[in-house]
Amino acid sequence: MHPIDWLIIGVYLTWVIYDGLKRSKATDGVEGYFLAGRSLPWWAVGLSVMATQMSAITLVGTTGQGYDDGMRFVQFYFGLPVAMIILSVTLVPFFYRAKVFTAYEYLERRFDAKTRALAGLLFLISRGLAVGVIVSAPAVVLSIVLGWSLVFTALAIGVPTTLYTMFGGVQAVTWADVKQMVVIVGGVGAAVLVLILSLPDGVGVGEALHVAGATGRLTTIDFSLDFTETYTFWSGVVGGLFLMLGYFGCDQSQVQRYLTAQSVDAGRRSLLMSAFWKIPLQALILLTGVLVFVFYLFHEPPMLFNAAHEGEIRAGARATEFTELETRFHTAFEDRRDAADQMIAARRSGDAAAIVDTRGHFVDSQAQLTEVRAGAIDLVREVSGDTAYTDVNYVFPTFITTRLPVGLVGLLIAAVLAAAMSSIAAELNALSATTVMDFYRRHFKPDATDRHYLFVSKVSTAFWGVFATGFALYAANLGSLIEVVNRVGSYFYGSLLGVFVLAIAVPRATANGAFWGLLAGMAVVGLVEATSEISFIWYNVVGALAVVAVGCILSFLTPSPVEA
Amino acid sequence: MTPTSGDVRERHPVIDTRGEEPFGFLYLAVVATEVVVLTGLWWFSQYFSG
Repeated sequence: MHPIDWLIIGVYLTWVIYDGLKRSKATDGVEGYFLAGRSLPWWAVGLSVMATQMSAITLVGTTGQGYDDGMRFVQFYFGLPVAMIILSVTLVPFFYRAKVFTAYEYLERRFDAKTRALAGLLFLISRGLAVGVIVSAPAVVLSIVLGWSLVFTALAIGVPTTLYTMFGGVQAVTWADVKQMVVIVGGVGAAVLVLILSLPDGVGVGEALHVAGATGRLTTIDFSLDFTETYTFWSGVVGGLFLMLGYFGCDQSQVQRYLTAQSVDAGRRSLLMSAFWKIPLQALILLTGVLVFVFYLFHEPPMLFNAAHEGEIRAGARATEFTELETRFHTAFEDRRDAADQMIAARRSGDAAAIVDTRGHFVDSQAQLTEVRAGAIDLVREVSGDTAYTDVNYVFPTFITTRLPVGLVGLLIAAVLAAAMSSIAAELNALSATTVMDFYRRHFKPDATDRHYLFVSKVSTAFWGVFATGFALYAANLGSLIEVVNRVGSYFYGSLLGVFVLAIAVPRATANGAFWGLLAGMAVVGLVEATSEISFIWYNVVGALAVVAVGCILSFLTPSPVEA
Repeated sequence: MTPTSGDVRERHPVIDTRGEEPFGFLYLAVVATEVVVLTGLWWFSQYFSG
């Protein structure tokens, strides 16, 4: 990497840490540390909400998905705007007026201590492991693409984030998020511009998109009602609605964002910012991936973007097979490029028969290329024994490091780091808040001074930072564990949402109903997962409905405390 | 006071629209924007995939 790119990354990291440390002076108590004294403007909170949701793996994974599969992933977010409206008139005012530090604190006021402890514990387990994955995934990608050691990339992400979060608290997290969103959007915008300018002379953006569209990559809406499919209009609108209600309404890492807002209205506005911008932003990131696909129509891509096992294969018994695949890949690429040129020429001529003919040829040549790539991936899996091997997350970083000009490489690597750090910081801050407020202060030391809790909060943040970075190094070699962590999240959000629905919408709901309902909801999700093929996005609906149903039954079977 | 199990405690209205300013128009704008964005995506999909 060029020294200028190093300089840009260095300046970015220094800027974030310096500003975070500077803000520690404004954090003089535990309310300032976790809630910024409820003083932040709505737009800063809104950007923080968006930055928290967009992890590095969202950025590199989504562009990779756009390259490999197209834009249909955007449907995943279709339920988000309505979820934000519902939260604005329900949980946001509830939490804000209750003056709570954590979402789970409210559950004790409404139900009891054990329901609060269970919800808090579920959060700590699921997000504690998830934050390790959030560090690990980009660390692995950057390590392979840039040739840095995994320990270095994990530390480069984990250490600065832990430092500014630990000393600066939520103030540092939020203002770093604002900067990081600027870096992310600026970086993606610059990449889009370069991709458009890189089209061959005489090829327009529209013409190139028509070629990409022939492969189905620009299909954004699928109205089929298939519960096994994650990315459809209905799974996004219904399953996505429940997922977003659970994530933004019950996950402390998001709840804590809007609790820092100046007022209830400011909290609402911060969420509505995502309601307006999330789908267009996600569509832009996916389109970036499609444009990378278009770029590689005219410039030969690597057969595999993840070169992790390439040396091993070239030195092994099946090296010849791999070389043959490379030769076939090169031929297939040449054929596809010719087919793309012919399709563009046919569209210009306006000859309907030629358009259909050349389109068919292009689709066939793309299928040929895909088949060779799939063969290479299978070969890597067989030789390395790494059955989880994939290269989708490596497409965009490879494009950045091999095709972008000096300066932009640094900016885009900084954008990937920014995406990672913004999510990790919010998680660390929220994990610390839950550890200290829901467990330490509630159960172990309820009458200590504010200064003591502030100190313990910083120690707790440092602990979670060290845990996340350490776990990241461990998780890097355990692909299946990452999947397990993601599944735990699916168990958690719907069921927790169900408890909050019981809390606010069912006056007759009792503490025992909520507690056992929460456990039953997760058990039902586990049962559904084990016995059906439905997509995980529907687990959020199943979990929420199961908790409400079991919670209501148990509550109505026991005498009301008022009647008793 | 330590809360006890089974006690129906703090209750709030399910829908709470109280605030310094009305948000009705903003909520409508969110819904209208989503309709426009989804329609735009559908058109985009049809135009370039057809």
